[in-house]
Amino acid sequence: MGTFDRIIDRVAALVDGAAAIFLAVITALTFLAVILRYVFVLPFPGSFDVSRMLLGVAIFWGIAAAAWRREHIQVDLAWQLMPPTLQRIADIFGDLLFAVFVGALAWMLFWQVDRVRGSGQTTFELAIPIWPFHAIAWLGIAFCFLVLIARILQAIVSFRTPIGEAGR
Amino acid sequence: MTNDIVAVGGFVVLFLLLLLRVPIGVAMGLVGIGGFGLLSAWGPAFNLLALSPIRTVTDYSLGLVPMFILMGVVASASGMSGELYRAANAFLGHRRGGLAMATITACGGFSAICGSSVATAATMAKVALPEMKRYGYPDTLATGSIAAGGTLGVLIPPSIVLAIYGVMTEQDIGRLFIAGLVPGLLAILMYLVTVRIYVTFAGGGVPAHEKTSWRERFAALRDVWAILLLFFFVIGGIYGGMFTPSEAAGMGAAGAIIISVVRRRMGWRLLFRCLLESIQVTAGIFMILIGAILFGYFLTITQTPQKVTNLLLGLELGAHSTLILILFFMVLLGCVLDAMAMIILMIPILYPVVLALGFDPIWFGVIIVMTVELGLITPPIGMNVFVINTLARDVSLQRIYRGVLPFVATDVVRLALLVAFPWIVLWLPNTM
Repeated sequence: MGTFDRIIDRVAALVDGAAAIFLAVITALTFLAVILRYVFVLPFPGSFDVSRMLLGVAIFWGIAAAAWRREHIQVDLAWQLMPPTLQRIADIFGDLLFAVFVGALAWMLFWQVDRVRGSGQTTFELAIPIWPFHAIAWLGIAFCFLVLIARILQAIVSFRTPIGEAGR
Repeated sequence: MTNDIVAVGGFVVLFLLLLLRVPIGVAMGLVGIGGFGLLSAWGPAFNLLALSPIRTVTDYSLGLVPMFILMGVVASASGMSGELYRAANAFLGHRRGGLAMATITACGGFSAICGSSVATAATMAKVALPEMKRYGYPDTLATGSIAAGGTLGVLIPPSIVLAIYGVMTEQDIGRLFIAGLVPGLLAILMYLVTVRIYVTFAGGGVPAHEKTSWRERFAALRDVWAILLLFFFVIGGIYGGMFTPSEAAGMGAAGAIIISVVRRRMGWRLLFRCLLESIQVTAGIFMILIGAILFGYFLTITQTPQKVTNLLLGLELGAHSTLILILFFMVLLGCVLDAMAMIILMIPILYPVVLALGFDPIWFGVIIVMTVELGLITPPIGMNVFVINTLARDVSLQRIYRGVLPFVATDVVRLALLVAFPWIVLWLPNTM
């Protein structure tokens, strides 16, 4: 594994780790909201909105890390029957389309975050601005786009390298 | 270009992309946006990208998905699956084929805290496979019973697939969960009978385990309190109207963590690993959901659901024949797609047909989940079989498929029963 791979691996692990911690926070918020309501007859203002905003962040970041590790669900049926060269071409093609999709998503979402910021939208109960959550979620998608581009470039550069010696 | 040509073209391109190994969510998203852009305008099509994915990932009703996944992962990591197996084994192991019966019963028990079939199969394979190997069970029965038992994961509540069906069709997820309970118990019973029949025909090839004393049985039963507590708390909470399904998921996940920590089976490191695994599985599911919802806009603009409804009703086959046609199509689709993707892709198209035919949406949810379950254990893409194959390298895929065949036959009989007698599914949710 080259230095480049190691760096992206490290960043992907950090992104994944952060997403995991967000999931812990969402679970804790949901748990606390129920306990407060049933045991102490108290509301937990904002838990609903903060949970769903964090869910968005966790999932977009999780999608980015999964993209780097090629963990998104695919149909392998035809791919398994292809010769290795064709498999590599199919992988590059798949990554290209993935990058196009995620690139368009990152671009459109960027402007959406800007619109939400401009409109001053806030959460219902605590009036927390929504745009920072969307912006953090956007970072995950932007990272996803960058790792896909990196992987495509790497696959093209190492296209002729015998299988086993090539990077991811 | 007419809507119909674009609609058909969209599906053709989608399946081509899937065969070229483009991630399922990406393929659906690209075809959705592309088709919408072609028929409407590119500005609104790209606007869908700005609005729809962020709305999907911040949808609170879908928040239960990662939390139910976390509950299952924690239960597995903290050894609850092993306790279940030991308890089931203590009661059933002394019968011929008893270890396979114990495996199925333990799978059913584990399904009560885990909403995924593949996770149930993977977890139970680690526990049950070495034991069945040690006692010289035929590899076909050993692997087949785990693969089939694993399918209980999507039927017995909580079920991730049923939850997503509920969100997509705006049906009460709590009622869907409860509706899966009786068919799930029926499935366990019928699988046990299948093992019995298998053993009868296999002759002396399946040994019996030594009998366990009642004291040991009760000791083994004592260990499963954690799973029972979690199940009654979570599913009982939903049934009794105490929690919404999302709250129940949060309580279940937090409860599983607390129990594991109290029993000194979980430290920070293991908890972090469980969280990591859960978010990774969740990201995969949401990627498909994001794509499917974008694809849904394309279906809407091409009026595909209405046209499919008119087409199928126009055949005038009658409600049940049309339903059988739909189920048969889903089984075929299961040869190419995985269970979750099938539900997410096809429900927007098939649901209006089923409503127009006059079927109950809760009942149909259970029926369709049972049908896609078949895809998990039938070739060429039987995800449960693949998972077991990675854990039992010495057993070929063909032998696992052979082992699972009697259970597939049982599944078909069970499906026919539930289609013929819908009250089996509906009586319990109707008491809510």
